[in-house]
Amino acid sequence: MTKKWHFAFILFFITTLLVGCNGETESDNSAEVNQKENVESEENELLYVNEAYGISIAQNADWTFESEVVSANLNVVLSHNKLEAIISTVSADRTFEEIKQELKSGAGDVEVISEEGHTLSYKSKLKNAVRTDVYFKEHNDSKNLIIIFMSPNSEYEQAKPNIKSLLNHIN
Amino acid sequence: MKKQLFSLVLGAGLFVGGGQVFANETEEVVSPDSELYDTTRIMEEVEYDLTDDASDKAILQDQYATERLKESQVAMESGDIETAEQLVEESNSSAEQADADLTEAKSSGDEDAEEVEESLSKSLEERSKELTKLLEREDLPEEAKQGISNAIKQVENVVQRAKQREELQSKLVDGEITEEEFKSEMKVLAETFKEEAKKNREEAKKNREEARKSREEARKSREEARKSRAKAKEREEELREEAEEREEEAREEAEEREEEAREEAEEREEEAREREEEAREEAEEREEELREEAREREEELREEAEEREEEEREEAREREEEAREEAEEREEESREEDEDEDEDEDDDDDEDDENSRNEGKDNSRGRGNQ
Repeated sequence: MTKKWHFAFILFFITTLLVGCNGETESDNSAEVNQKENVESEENELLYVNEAYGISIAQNADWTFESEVVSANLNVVLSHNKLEAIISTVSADRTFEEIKQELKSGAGDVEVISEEGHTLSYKSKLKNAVRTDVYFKEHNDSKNLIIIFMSPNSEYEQAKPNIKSLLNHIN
Repeated sequence: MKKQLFSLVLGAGLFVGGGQVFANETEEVVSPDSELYDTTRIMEEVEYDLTDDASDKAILQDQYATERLKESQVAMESGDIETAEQLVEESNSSAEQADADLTEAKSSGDEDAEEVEESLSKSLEERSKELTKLLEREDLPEEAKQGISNAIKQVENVVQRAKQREELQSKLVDGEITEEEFKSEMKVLAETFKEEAKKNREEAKKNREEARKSREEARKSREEARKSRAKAKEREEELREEAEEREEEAREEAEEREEEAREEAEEREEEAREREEEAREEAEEREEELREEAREREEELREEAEEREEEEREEAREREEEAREEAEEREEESREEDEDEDEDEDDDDDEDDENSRNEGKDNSRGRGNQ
């Protein structure tokens, strides 16, 4: 009689386990589908678009639009917590070398961290330094883009994935 | 500290000389005309917003104040007095903000505040000297001079703030107030200065925004003017091209007419040549016909002559034949006469008969031929 109870209990346990696992798999699958849908809908939505300059930024992560200033060039400011991005247009006839020189002149007393190819990184010499990373991107026949990321130096490592993410969402 | 205050007041009061190094630094500044100028200004704002430490904030605003003044010089050198004035105003509002941030740093007991204050006082002194130097420029319009005078007054305001801080510091040192009271009163001062600075910065920002808009409008106007000029030039170019085309067409038409006239002349010449050729051929044909006719006539004459000759020959032959026959007849007659006379032989008779038959045959044949 005890054996029978044991057998019944084991059978019930196994059944419960199988049903539970199956349910979890389904739930995982549906979560995956939802995530995919979200990614797709995020990619379809635009965070910012400017037809005159031919610029569009796809919605991604927690980047938010802050402001747009149109003067001699276009400046779009986006933010992600303590990470700020400035997307600026520059005339296509200007080289990145010239642009870097001008930005360094405007930055005042800074320490250059790296200067490779189409990037420039420097930080201020303050107690709580602010790091600036400038990326040069060829855009069209008349305009190129510089994408400037600024964050407290102490938070740069955390900000890196968001920098890469935004760079991949600018068209 | 008293020494610092003294130097600051002295600096604000005695703005003479010492602008050379400062002037040379203008080469390192971003020109207000630059395409990237607004970008660098936005970067400054972002940098300031990302900075939490009050001393760091004070240093940044002090840097910005110095940069604005350098930019003001650049604008002035390029003749943009309005922008230069605007930048002097912004320089002062940054200086005020730096002072407010410094006061906050001091109120929170920041260890670096004293060092920052010293640095700021030096910068302020240099800027004051530079402002005075600007004021002494002879080419400066009266309006700009007024603006710079106001800026110098604002510098004095910063100096007054420094005095207020110094008085509190003295009270603390003299034991008139406790550390807590000092911090509290310093905080009140900081709040007041920050409020003022914020107000001035907002005002300056608003003015800058307006100036930026007017620059943008001016730029657009310049752009439109440039486009109009380009359009006018384009129109001029089009007219010139049209004139050239018309000239070209007229030239081509003239050439065509000339060509046509030449071709017509050639055709006429050709026709004349053809007519001449035809006339020549006709003449040749006529000549040939005449020659042919002459040849024919000659031939006919020759044939007639030949016929006549033949007839004559025939007649001669006939006459000769007749003569020969007559001669033969006469000979026959004479022979017959001889035979008659010499007695006829039978064989000869037969022969004579036969001969006479043959002659008869020949005679009948000759008549038939005639």
